Amino acid sequence: MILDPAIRDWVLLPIMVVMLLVGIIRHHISVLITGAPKKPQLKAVRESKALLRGSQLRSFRNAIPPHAFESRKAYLTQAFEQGKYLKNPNAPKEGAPTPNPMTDPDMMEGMMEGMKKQVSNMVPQMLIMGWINFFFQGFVVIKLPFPLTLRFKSMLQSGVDTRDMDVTWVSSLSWYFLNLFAAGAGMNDMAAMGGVAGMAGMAPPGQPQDFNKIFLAEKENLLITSHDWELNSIEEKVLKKYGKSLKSTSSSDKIERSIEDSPDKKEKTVKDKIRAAQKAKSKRS
Amino acid sequence: MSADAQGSGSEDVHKYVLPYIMHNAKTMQFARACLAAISGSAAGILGLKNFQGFAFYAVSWIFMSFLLLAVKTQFKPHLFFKGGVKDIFTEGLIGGLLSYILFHTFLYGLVHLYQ
Repeated sequence: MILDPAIRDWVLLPIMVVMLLVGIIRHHISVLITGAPKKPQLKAVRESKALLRGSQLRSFRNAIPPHAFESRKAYLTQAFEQGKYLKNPNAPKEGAPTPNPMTDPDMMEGMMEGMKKQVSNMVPQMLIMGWINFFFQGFVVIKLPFPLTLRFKSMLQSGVDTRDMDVTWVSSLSWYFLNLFAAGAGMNDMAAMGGVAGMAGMAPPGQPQDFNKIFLAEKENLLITSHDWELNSIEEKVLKKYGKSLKSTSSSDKIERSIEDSPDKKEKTVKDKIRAAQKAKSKRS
Repeated sequence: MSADAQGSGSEDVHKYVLPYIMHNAKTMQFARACLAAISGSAAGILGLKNFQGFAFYAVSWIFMSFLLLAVKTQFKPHLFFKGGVKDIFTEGLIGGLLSYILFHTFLYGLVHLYQ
């Protein structure tokens, strides 16, 4: 079967070019519509950062000395329990129904963003599909260079009703779909690379979260974290890292004990100093 | 790809800096997309048929991954990606295949189908 070169010039290439250009236009329109990111509220930022602080304390717990960890833990658990960092601490706490997202202007904004994106995705695709259906229905435009099973016939030859044609021939509508999938997978990245990298840091609009509950859960997590300072027996760790383990176990035990003793003493002094300073401060104020 | 993540332990995930990781992933994605387009076009022009086309994709994929590993990460992939070597060799395999099929089909049709 031989295809007319006119089909190539007037069906195959136009569909591909239009898909490509629409993809680029869509990208630029989405950049335009999105506009400058909205300035977040101070309290909302504080709320999420407090949570982050808790999780960071948990993940880096071994990098700070014990007394520092303990004081941070005590402070954060207290703050979480009292709801110190909540956006609106006076809101009803337990058992309150989840607030209607329509009333919160933040949520409204997020939903609008999502809607805009979806619309800007959907409308051009619908238009192009209508355009292809209207002008190019029933064209066989190209042949796949690899064999496929019969099951793909309805997928690849939508719009062409011939029973005996080989599966590998592709109809115009299916050529459109092929373009669409490939564009979704990788082509848009290429188009986007040329543009502004403004897509980063977009949070998906989610359900309104109950930060009080999250804070309480974080408090529980903090309470059960144990602390093991990395500088304990650091000498031995360094020796082990460079492949020089201590010779006899008894001597290493002794060394370890002496190591553990000395920083503890030092720490106590540091701790005392801090306490004394705090006392002096409170007296002054 | 000048930016690399702090830390070297592949198991402590929190040592990676997210913007750097994202930048690295983006760079790799761009290289992948270009690879899919170019190798697909090459396969189409060469007139590879049936499973030769897929074999060509596999070969070019492995070659490209090795290049990324050797030139871009200097054989230290865990500095750049959370998953290390696995990320370089597996990420975006299917998406790249779709782009590859499109270009393969397109160029094959242009060169060998239409007289």
